Amino acid sequence: MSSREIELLAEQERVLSLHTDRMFGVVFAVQWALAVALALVFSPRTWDGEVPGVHLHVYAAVLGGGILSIYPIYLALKRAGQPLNRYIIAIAQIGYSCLLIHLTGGRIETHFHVFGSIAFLSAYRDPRPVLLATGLTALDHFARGALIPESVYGVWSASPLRALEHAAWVAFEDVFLLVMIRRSRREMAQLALHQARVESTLLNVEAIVVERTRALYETRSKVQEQEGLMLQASRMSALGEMAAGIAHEINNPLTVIMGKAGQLREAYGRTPLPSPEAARASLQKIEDTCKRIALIISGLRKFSRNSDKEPLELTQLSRMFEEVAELSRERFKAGGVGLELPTALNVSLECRPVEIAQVLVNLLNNAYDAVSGQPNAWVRVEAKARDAVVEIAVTDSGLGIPVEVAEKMMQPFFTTKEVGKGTGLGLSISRGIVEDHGGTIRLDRGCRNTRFVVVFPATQSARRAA
Amino acid sequence: MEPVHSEKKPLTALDFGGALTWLLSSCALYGALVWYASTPGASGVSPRTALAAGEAARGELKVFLHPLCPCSRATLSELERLMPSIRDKAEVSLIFVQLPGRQLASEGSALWERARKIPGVKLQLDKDVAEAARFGARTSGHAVLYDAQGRLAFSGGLTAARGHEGDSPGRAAILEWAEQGDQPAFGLAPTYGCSLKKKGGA
Repeated sequence: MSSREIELLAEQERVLSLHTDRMFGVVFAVQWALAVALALVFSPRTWDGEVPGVHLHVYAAVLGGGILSIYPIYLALKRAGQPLNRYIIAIAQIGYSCLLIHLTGGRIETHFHVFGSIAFLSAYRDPRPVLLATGLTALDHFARGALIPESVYGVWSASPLRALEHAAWVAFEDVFLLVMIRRSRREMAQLALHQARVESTLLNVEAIVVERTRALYETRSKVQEQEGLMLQASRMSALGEMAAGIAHEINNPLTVIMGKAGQLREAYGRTPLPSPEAARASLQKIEDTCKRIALIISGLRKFSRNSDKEPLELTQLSRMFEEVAELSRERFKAGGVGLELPTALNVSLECRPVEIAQVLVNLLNNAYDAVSGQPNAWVRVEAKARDAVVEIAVTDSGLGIPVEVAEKMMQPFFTTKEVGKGTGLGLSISRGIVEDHGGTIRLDRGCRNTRFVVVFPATQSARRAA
Repeated sequence: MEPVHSEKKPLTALDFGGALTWLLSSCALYGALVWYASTPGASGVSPRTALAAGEAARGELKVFLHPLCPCSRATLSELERLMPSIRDKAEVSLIFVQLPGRQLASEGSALWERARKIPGVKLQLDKDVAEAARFGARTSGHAVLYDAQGRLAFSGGLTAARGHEGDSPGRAAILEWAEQGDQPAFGLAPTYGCSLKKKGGA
């Protein structure tokens, strides 16, 4: 037997003895009431001729019954489960058999109380109180048989065999009870064994679950880390695709600045000096051009930063479109592709702006790559707000996407661009970003040109309502 | 199992002391009950002869009863058991003492009604407890048995203890007399029950 089994068995026995003690508490209260009722109904008075007196049975029932009952009831209420209780209860129960037999005038039927009491005591599933009660019954018979035999057997000289005969009937019952107690104890031990096994299995399963969960968390955090790196890499890749255009975009204003600065330097070396208005106009041009460069650099910095932990913010789409267009405009111009942006747009979107700009850049790059070199190529960006959603569409002058490509284009690493030009991650990452914002991205098959439509909930409360 | 609240506490000297006190009290109760049950009532001397010899065809069993004695219920139970054996050999009379007071009226009392239902017995009233005194009966349940020749065959109670049914020396003596036929026999047994007349009374 393992220590846990012994512990469980001891707990079972403790609970059992507690409940049995309490059960006997009730039994003793009922027996006491019964004894008093018997005395009051059948022998309330004794007579000395015509003079009545209280019958001794009444005292025996009230006081004697009290002595026999109160202590076991106290034990049941205050000291239930103590190891000594079962012996006290066994003695009291046999005492009650004597009292009730006496109160009923020795009726043979009342003797069944002895058999019932011993059977009740077997509820402890312990042979000792059963044997104690049996021993007391035998002792009572032997003692009274020896001292006042007529009170037990009704004959003047009782044979010792008569005591044995009476005890034998009780022993007959004991045999059954002891067998049942033994079987019951065996079942308790088996129950403890099963419970210990179940507990042990549960502990093992719990340890496995903890280990697997830990591994799962580790994997998940690695995947999240990889996803972040991938997003950043993709963004830098998109930026790479625009790098030539951006360099050109910065170079042009620099040429303007250098030209204006040279003009000013030369003008101040000559006489007459240039008019203050002309000088101010040149300086204004230099300042405006510098602002333009600053805007481009600001867009680049914003676009290239890691946006993983950025909060959602309400963003004016017109400003976002301007910044993205600044990064792409020169490239589009060089490739002979017209870029149309919405004018007087007043639509806001609650989003992480860097991520949405990335989606837009991806769509613009794809559109540019698809139509550059074609005659009258154009790309158009539109946006509108309706029913708590914001819809952004990027349309190019191409004539749609073949079905077999459309089916796979959202998969990672799928690309139709030549080697070294695309990563195959643009659309799949864009879809991830859009879905992360609670939106959808799809190819508009109803349009005769190639048109991608992105739909977002305008705010997060609209997203939750959806 | 339902939740359990009581915790196992170590046994103290108080527990053992309480158990011992209780055990001694229980033993005292047991002793008192045994003493009370086995203490017989008073008994007088029954006349050795009651009837003129040879006048009666059968013997005569007289049982004297207090109408309200609870212990005498056991006497009637024993008499019921005896009747089949002695009915042909003795005339059985149940004599209820007549005491002053309406409450003590024998006729109509529970014991009287029960006695009336025993087949073959005669019920009589004993005014002023005179008949009982004549036969030396002082305790309810006292029986006297005379054979056909008027000789006293038994005097005493029919129960083994106070209000206690079961085998008894009285029952054994009467059965022995019934089985022996006309053989002279004599038995005595203590009587357990209430006093037929107030002790010290006239």
